Amino acid sequence: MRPIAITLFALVVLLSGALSYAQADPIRVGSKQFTESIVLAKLIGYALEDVGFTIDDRTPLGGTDVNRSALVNAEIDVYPEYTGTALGLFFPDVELPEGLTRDAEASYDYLLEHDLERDRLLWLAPAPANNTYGFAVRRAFAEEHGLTTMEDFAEYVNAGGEVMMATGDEFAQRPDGIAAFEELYGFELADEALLIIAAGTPAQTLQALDQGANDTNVAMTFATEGAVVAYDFVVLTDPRGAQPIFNPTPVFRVEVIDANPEIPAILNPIFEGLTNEVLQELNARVDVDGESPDAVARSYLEEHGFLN
Amino acid sequence: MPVNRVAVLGSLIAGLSLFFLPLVELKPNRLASGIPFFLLQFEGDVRYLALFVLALLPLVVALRRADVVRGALLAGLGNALLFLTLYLPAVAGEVLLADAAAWLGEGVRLSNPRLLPSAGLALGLFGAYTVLYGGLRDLVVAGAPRSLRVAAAWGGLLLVVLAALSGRFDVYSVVVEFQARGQQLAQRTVEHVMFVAVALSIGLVLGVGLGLWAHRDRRASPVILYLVGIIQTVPSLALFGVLLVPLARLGDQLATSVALALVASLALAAAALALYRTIGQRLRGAARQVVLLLVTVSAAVPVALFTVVVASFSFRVSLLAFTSAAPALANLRSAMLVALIAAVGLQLAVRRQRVDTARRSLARAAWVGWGALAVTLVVALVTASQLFLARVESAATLTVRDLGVSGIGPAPAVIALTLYSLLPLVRNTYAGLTNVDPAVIDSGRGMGMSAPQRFMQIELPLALPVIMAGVRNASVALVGIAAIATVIGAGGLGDFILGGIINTSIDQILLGAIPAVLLAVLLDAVLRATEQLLVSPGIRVSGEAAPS
Amino acid sequence: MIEFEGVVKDFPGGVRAVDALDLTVEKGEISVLIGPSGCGKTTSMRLVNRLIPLTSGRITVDGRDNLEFAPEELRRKIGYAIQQIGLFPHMTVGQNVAVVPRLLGWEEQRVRQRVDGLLELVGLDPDVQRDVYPRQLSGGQQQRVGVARALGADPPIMLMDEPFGAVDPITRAVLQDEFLQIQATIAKTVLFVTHDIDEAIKMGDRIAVMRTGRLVQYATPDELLAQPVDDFVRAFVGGDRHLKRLGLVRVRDVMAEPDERTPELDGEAVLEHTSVRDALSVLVGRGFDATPVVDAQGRLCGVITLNGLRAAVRRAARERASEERASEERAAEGEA
Repeated sequence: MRPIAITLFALVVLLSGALSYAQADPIRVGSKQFTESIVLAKLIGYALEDVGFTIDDRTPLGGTDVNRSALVNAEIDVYPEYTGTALGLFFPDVELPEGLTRDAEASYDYLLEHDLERDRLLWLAPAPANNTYGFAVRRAFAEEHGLTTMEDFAEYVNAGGEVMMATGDEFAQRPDGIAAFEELYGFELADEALLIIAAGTPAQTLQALDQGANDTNVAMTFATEGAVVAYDFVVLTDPRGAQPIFNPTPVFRVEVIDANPEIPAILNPIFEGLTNEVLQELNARVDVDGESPDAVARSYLEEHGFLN
Repeated sequence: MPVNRVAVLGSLIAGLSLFFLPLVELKPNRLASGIPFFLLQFEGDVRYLALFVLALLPLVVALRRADVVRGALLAGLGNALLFLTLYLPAVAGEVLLADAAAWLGEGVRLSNPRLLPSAGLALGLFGAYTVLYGGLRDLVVAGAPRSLRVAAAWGGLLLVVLAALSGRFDVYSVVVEFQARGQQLAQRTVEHVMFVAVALSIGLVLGVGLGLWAHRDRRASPVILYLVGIIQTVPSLALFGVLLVPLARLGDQLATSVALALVASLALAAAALALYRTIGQRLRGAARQVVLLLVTVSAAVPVALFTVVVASFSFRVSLLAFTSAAPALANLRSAMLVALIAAVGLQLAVRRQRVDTARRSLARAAWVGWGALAVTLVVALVTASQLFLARVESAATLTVRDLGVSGIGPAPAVIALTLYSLLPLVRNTYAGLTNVDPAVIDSGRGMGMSAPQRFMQIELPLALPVIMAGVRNASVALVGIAAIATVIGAGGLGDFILGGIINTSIDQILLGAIPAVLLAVLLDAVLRATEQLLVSPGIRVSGEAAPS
Repeated sequence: MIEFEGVVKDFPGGVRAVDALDLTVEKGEISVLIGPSGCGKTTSMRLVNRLIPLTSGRITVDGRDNLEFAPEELRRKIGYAIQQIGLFPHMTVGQNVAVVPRLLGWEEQRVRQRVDGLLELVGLDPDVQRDVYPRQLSGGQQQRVGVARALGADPPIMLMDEPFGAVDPITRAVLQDEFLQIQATIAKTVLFVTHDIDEAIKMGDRIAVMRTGRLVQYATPDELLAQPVDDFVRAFVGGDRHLKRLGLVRVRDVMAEPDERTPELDGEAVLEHTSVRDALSVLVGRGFDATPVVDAQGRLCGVITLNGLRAAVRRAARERASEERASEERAAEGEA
């Protein structure tokens, strides 16, 4: 009987000690595992911390599905998500309106309405940056062949130009990946022209391009990838819109905003200033210069007067 | 022993790789690749060639006759080579970094340029260590004094650590990375250690229990061993996915209702067991199986629930105990450190002491030291629990999430790690107990030991070496698996490793991998020392007590 | 004293290992259970301290039914030594010997004295061997420790299952002699199991021959050798049973007074306490029919001859036959 009594006593002591404290719930911030998502989450965290919230930093949390389940199951309160990603993955059994994903405003409105209705999630103001997939080439290569847009690239391919493209497997195989570009711009890449890196990230495909592995001369990339700056590559523009719009946006559980209605007014101005160029620079400072995401996020907020 | 072949091999490896392979790569920034540099490309003076000469000197020494002098010379050369292979390129690197812009040319983003150690340097270190190892072997064979052996084994490493602390290695890319992200390194390392420690402690209780059950119950043993084997084959990512939703749901529940459910389930198990005891003999076939299954399930569910809560809670609390900045905990940590150092010191002194009475009082003092360590640890954990539960307003609103159970984060990681630790622990406990000589158990029985006495005094001590081998297996494996915890946001050194893979930053990978390797080695050494303390010299495999 | 009364042991599957065993081990005597493998000798022994439960019948230990005691309590009163020795390898020699005293809760001081005393008794040096581990000892030393451990709490009764089985013949002989010497002073009631007839003859005050769970003959060694009850026992004790009997008799008991010719007998003399069997061996190897006998100091004290030996054996047989007749007559009178 003695061990039980001791255990009970310990529990009582623990609980009574516990009850003597008590403080407000922290805001739990998650992120995906790549640099941009981490930096965005840190921006959210430091901005809120500055006005007195307690922050529980859960970055990096995992892939898209882990973050989404965590948010839906109230394991975290917020994480930055991309509009295009959400439309592509979270509504598998819904027929989305034609052309929705290529229209930034319509995409956002759709998510604002339906994610609130279905999962009680609130999308705050999106950033103007569009972190879409794209094609990157070396600057010398672009200059030699006069490449700036995907139209130029299609012309180069159709004229019989050599291509070896480093890409992740998903981008190579999904209908809204390389295939969407091929259809819209009218060119075709043979299987032999693809160097597929399983689960490859832009950092990895760009590294392959930099090292010229297997004569790689094109690489899959994100438009805002910091490594593009490091390697001095050129990202070909997508004037016809082959890709969905990927605007990064803080997504909150609506209960959190209901309880703290001042949050949108704090975060919206910050996100509105995040253009492709800004994100590329922030990403580069982490990936290329080797600064920590915390230092980069804090100094950005300070320099732009978001911290008091 | 004629020629010291080990030293010759090390010397050749070091000499050839230092001379023919690039030592470092000058990188303009964290990502972009840079320019390789060979030993002969280092500008300045001839001192860099000394490295090459030093690498080949062991060839001459290794031909001497085997004695303490040869061992000392080889160990000295190995240590010098170990240090200089890191030090000289760093000195040359400072010059290179100063001229980085000129070397790398236009068009690259030159920010935080750094030196990535290349193949030549890595193989050079390996060769240096091989020479050192050859020397140490000579010293051991020749029966050199202990102090000389210790100095020979650790001297070079000490120089490296001192140079690193004084900032001489700041040019190397891992150090640059450390300076940018190092603030998190301590926290991540503590998380990693806590993952392993908590999972191992709980796994030990469960694993030894299951192993004992498998040993006692012939019918259960294949089922138990099969099940823990199956767990091992589930990929950790899948396991995290499986755990996410139920743990999140469990987290939402009120602690009081879960406790009630727990008690109810245990009562059901007890009732079913009582039923089985009374009418079980008369039941046949299927009915009997059903009752047995009912007992097992209704007993297993609360055990599993309880384990989940205990594992999650202990992880959060022990992490807090070792990282919280609260002054009470900081003081307790200092006290723990003092107690640990005192206890280890006394324990070492016990071994040296030859006089019987002095030895006994030293041993008693050492136990007091260990006791003090245990007490401060418990106090720290209690204090940390209070801190952790500080947010809870009342026992009535206490949810399981407040106890640390959640669908993402440390809870599923600790639970998954606990499950992964089971196979080596269960298997080794089972094997250890099963392999105890039946004659020994029979004489214990014949001398009038009760079953618990036989277990504690005979079976457990005799199975201990095998069980401890399982503990070491499990712990080293866990250090590796814990790196996956980052994918559910649980932290740990995996943050650096996986982040580095995603970002193709070798420096970031190394920042996580090097501490993980050191951790595994250290843990193994600590567990070996524990084994030395716990296992009787009479059955130690490599003890001093050899048959006479 | 140990008494078996109608003891039966059935194992699951209907194997009857011990069948209606009646046997009494007298106080202070060594009774040896012997028989071929599977005859039930070890099973019978393990029934005594309830290492296995009996099926029916009764076993009393010093007059009390062994079911009256809790098994652990019973076992701590009975010394137990087995063939594989079963020393605890993780305990020092001293700790091994101290197991039962510690189980009985003796004071440390008393345990220490007892351990040292026992180690000396079995011919080990406490200061050298008390704190070493079993694997540092030779096989013979380990067996000694096994005996010392069985004697740990000075139990009145001992069970010994081939305790000297695991050593070479020379060491075994030494250990047997030593144990007999010890037994001469401590006089324990011993139930001793072996499959070696020579060991049984040497160690036993009485020998119980068992076959398929039944007791075939229970007699003193000399009686067993002189008058095996059936062909099984005769075959079991061996064709050299008369020679073995000679092994039980000492030269001094059958020698003749030396006469004037005795000193002229050249060559090796035999010691007076040599067994007659060994003396016979000497006689057979010599050119003469007689050889001198000397005492421990080497003084001539007798002479033995081949004819003398034969006569002595015959005389012994006659004496026993008359003894038996007398005892039968007494039994008949008792009945009447």
